[in-house]
Amino acid sequence: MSEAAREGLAAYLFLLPWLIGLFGLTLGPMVASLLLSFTHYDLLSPPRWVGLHNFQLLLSDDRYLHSVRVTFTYVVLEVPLKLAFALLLAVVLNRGLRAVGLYRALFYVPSLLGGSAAIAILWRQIFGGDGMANMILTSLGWHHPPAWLQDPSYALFTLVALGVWQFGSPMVIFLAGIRQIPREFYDAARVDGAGRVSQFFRLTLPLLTPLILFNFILQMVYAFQTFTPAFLVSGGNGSPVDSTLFYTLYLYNEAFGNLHMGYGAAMAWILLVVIAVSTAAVFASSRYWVFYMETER
Amino acid sequence: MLTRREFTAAGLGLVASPSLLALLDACGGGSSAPAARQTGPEASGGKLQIAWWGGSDRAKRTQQVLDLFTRKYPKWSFDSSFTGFNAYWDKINTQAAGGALPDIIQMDMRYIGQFTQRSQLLDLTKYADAELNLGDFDRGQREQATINGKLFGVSLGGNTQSLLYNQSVIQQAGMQPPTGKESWEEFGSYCKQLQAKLPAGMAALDDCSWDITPFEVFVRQRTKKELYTSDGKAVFTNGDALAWFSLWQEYRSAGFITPGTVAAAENQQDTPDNSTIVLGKAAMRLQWSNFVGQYQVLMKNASIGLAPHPGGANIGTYIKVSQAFSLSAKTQYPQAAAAFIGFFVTDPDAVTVLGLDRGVPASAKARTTLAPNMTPADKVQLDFVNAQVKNNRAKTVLDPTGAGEVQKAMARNALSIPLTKVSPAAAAEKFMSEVTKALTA
Repeated sequence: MSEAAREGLAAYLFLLPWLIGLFGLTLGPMVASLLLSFTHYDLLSPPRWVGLHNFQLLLSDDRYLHSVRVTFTYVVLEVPLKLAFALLLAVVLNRGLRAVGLYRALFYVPSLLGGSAAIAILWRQIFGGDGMANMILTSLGWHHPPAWLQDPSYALFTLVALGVWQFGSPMVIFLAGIRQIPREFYDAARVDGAGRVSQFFRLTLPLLTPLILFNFILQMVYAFQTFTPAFLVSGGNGSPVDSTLFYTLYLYNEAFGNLHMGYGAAMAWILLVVIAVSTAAVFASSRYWVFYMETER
Repeated sequence: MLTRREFTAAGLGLVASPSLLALLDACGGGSSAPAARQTGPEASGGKLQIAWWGGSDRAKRTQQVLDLFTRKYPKWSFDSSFTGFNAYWDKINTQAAGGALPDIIQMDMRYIGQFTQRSQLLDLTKYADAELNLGDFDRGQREQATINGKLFGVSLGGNTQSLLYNQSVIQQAGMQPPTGKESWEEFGSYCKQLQAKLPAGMAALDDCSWDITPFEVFVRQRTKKELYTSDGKAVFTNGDALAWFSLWQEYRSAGFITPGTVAAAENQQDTPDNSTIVLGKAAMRLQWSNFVGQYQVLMKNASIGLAPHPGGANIGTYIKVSQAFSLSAKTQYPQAAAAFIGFFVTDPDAVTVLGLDRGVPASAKARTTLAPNMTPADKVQLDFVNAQVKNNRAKTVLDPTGAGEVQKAMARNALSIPLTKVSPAAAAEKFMSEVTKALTA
């Protein structure tokens, strides 16, 4: 074997553990899942091929379509709201307040805690019928506030609030992006008579569009896959009355609750395609609203 | 200084050796070799995994019994976990899917059919006399968990459907508790009278429309049959579901049941700690008789009573195996686990700790052990169940696969009536279509 070939072999041997992980734990199961989506499989008897039957069933499954609606509503509300908060606070924090480091850390803490199980349970305590939120509201004079988590009209919005509360990580990214805009631009704008608001909408915002694109796609992909808060806040079944039946929650219930593994696999692959298509659509649209400073040279 | 070649060789060697060791370990005499299948509790030791559902009081008692067993057989220890009833089945199903069911599983009669159909439970027939000690076991309780001639669960207690009520509150209102002979309409009038005399914020009756337990009694009263046929189809029809939802809608309009959001909260977190009676939001609830002890423990300032289920002339209630312990078909310690179950249901110390939390013990010896030292709540439960023995119709058809999903469909659709203003007719139709889907999937 030549020296070059031996080096190549050594390289592959070093990569081997990671490659085993990639094929065994990621790509392999993905291919298996795709094949399983065309079968009836309950984990106890061998899979039975049924072709497109699972996908046909999904189209006529009311609860599935409802879960799609719930998830889309969540994504459409949570992602823009979260980014708006993140951007607003990044601009405010950029003003060079005295304890900016402290504020930055404080605003980031919710993101650190994340939508974890503990936080979801905390949220349930706060927004339940007799929870802290309602205690505060009654003391402020609102005598019969709704039971936020048990009323189907409001339950989903408490989950949106939980998502928006974690705006810390996009905020930190926006802050870094704002800091990168050369100060000369702002000086020039001020000389031309632009006020604060004008500076924001005509200078900061356009120059931040690449980061907005990045954050938007990232947050959108996460939002589609939300599971933990929905599972814990609703008690595992999308209650009340399926108003918090997220796509992943319904998938979990069908696949692991009722052992309809093929059905669950079909749902998972549809989600993958939807996320991919949404991401592609956002990228395609980016041509019209994202301004990359470097390429304009 | 190592050359690159030597470094690569050394690295590969390091990576390869643990896997070789693991291979040797598996081939040689491992601790989990097949020969360990027949092990009684004296013979060897190990760790048993156990799972149950229930509230904090039950968890405390069960943990005490686990400690008692470990004290008697020091080589055995337990890995235990518990959740509320709704979350329990998702967890158990997930574990079953991964082939990792706990050794000892608390089992419900609505789900046992599903598990035995998928061969996930161990046949306990051969342990019946020795390890399980079922000699003086109540025959009805033993038969309920016997499927196709094989014993798949050991009853942890018997209970029956009943009306649980806050006796103190009803006495303060100056009324007598219900007699159990009322029809559903007469019961409604009673509740209306009671509501007028109750403090603000407390409803006379908990909204139980979402609970399949009273619905089953309702169907059995109406049809004089069971909920399901022996080949897994529903006996109840759209007419029955509509009658049920309409009844509760009438109750709702009369203003004496808890609001929809309160019922939804109870459905979301279904432990006794969160029940409406304990929280003071309702005076009465249709519930299994063994909850009287669990509620009483949580309510220091009120006494809880039991009355027969309303509904009039036709008998709809039955003495149920309130819950059972089953063993996973893949358990590595069948004999020791069976011995634990026998200990749980017959050992005098264990029986005393557990009391009537899970129902009236099926073992005659256990009942005599308990008799002298029962708490007042336990006595109420025992007297009630004994009285109801003559007033029940035994259940003859085990719930089929999908019964658990029917239970969830009932909760969803019943709650949609107060929460999203769906009409009872529409809810009944949707419920029936979900039932058909659940039973044929």
